[in-house]
Amino acid sequence: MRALALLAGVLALHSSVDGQASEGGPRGDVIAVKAGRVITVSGEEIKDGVILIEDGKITKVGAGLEIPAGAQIIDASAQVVMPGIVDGSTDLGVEGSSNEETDEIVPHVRILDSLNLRQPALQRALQGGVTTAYVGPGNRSVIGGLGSVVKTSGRSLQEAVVREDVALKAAMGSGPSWGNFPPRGMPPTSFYARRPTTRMGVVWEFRKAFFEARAYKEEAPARKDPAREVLVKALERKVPVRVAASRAGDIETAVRLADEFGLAISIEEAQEAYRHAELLAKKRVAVFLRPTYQTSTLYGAEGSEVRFTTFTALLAAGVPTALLAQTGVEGEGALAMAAFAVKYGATRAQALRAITLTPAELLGVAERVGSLEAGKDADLLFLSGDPLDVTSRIERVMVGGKVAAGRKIVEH
Amino acid sequence: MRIVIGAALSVILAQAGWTRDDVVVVKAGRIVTVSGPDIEGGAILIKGGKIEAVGKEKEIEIPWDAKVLDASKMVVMPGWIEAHTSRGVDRPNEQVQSVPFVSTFDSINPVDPYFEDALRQGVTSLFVLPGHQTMIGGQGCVLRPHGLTTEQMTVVKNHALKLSLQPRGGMSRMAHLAAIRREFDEMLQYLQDLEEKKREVPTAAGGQKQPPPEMDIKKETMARFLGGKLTGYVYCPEPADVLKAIELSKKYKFRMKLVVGRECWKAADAIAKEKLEVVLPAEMVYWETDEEKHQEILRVLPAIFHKAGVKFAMQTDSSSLGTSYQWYQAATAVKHGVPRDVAIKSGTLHAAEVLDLADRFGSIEKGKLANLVVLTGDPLDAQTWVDRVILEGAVVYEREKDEKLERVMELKAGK
Repeated sequence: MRALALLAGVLALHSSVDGQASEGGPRGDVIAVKAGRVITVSGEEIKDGVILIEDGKITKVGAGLEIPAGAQIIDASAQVVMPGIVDGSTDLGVEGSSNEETDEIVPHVRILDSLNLRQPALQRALQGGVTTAYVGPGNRSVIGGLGSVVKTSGRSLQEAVVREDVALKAAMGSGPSWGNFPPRGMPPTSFYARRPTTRMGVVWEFRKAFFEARAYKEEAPARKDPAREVLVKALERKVPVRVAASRAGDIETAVRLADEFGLAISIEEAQEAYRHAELLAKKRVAVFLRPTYQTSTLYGAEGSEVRFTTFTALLAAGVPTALLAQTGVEGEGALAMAAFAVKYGATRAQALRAITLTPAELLGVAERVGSLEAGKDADLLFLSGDPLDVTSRIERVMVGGKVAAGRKIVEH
Repeated sequence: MRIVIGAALSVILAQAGWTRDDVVVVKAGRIVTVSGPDIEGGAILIKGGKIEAVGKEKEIEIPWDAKVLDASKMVVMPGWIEAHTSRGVDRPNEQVQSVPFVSTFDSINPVDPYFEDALRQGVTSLFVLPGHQTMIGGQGCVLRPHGLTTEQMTVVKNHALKLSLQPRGGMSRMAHLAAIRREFDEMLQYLQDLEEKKREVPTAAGGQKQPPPEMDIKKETMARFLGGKLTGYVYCPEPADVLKAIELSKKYKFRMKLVVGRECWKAADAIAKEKLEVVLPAEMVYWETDEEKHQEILRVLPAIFHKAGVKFAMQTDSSSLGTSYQWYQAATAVKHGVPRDVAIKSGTLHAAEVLDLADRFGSIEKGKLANLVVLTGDPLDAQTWVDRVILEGAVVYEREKDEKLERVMELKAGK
């Protein structure tokens, strides 16, 4: 109890603001952020802009806005303010493994059941500017379960979850088969004899699952099967399927499977997606691209041949593309990716959108996050300089109008 | 030998347009000298691979036979320096725990992509040492990341001795230290015995003088190290190891530089007091969890060491995008409050000082080797490209001729 009180005290302290408009009585629920520059992402950048926030939501963004009497004022006139980063694929906060490996088809497991909001990784991501994250199952199962979108600052699931079960995870390539053994000398149902063992085996398991789900749908049995219920939703395009695929062949396979079963898919990882930019555009498949921008190697995940221009090639073809940070790298990973994307040919606007509004749209949460617009959550990053300048630092993170607490930086 | 190496290098460099024997003038929009203030509209006169003069363009007299490189829209800075790495070699950790006599010279793989990429990123000097897993691991070589053979690449062969205070798996720290002390003590005893034998001037039966006893070649390196003629690079994974290294260096009177693990910021004051120079780990900024307060703490090593007054160089590794580049490490330091000039120095002049080679490179000054990087913009800007690298006066890297870069920058496959 005392700990709670202390926590509340700390939060109050961190949420304290810099000043208060002199006229009128205090209106604690209205905040005015005066920013040296506002990057809205959805519209033009605003010099000396004001962001008005009420009850954790943005009510107005613009230059020379009248500040309501009694509003709390946050002076960020020396800072650049942008929307919080939306990371389109993470395993942030997942306690233990993000792969349920008892079966190769586990569509009904939910990542939310593995989430631990006290995991340091969430706090670190938050301080690195990621305010919203898709958390999903890993790549070890052919169909791995349901992923959700959460705020990294939430203290309870109820507070953290932005949208539940937004995508069904599937994986092509060697992820689901790597290290598996055929059931030789063991009972075929043995846990240790995990299948599939090849790429073709992966595809077969995927197809078999959806064949069965189709039959199940037609049969419409009285007794519901939770796993097939999820697959039926995917067949009805009510839940999109997020397919992890790095190599061109695997991406093509994913598109073919989507055609076969009428699934709505997006591709994650997608290092060789440049080879199928036209196909992806034609099939209206979006991409969560995890770029490899290291000049020391020509090869990325799964031995894929990387191109630094994959992002721009996909955009040029008309494929909605979000940029992902590197896995396992804490801090401003996504901002660095955006900076490098610009170096390799993207425009500023494209790069910044690809780590905020584009992933928000692709995740179906753009009515709440991804840009600084009236009606959206007040999730703001306060930076010491331009976000694409790698010497700029995030000095303050605000989620839902509250300054995120718990940060301590020790430099001396 | 040196002449042979020099001649071979000239041949290699000649392929890149001109040789180190040419007189070269580099005109630069901005010169980041590192040792002094930046020079806008500057020029650098290079003769015999060395910097002859540097200043405002109008102050530099251009000889009639000079080859002129016009970088007047570019920024020119000294090449970045990697003060400690174990990349570019085949297996850097010898299994036998005391092998001072081995050298990375025999393990360096000149075609390792690491060297090619170092050049692409504007690194002009690398110190390649044995890894952290061997107690007395052998000698390292200072290289230029250019050349067909190890000989052509070598700037200084066997420049320092690598030691590690990281106990091997299953071994305690006390046993590890005891083993190191025994190596040192046995060496000192050997040297004493050798001296005595020399003094005895043994005479064989029949009155003929015998040649004085010679040192076992296996022991030469260690003798140089304990005699203060060879610097030790001592890896300290934990802060306690820093104190042990200081204790050892005082007792056995050797010169050393510290290669520190990330927790060693706790020993920053002790390091400062001894005026030791350090090489920081590639993971210079890291998060810690305060379990009691549920608070995440960001430790910023370059800022901590800078404030403690310790001179440091930065390492890179290939574990993530940013940490693989010296310029990005410098930018990260600036992001977290290290003054810009200190951050750039730590990847150039201070790194050269850690190597005790600042008389040869590390800044753009008269008399130093012309190891220059021509950049399209500010050194710490992600949008900047390395346009050219000049090594000892010769252009050895040109972006427009970089086939690998051309490949990853293709818009579509099959081109």
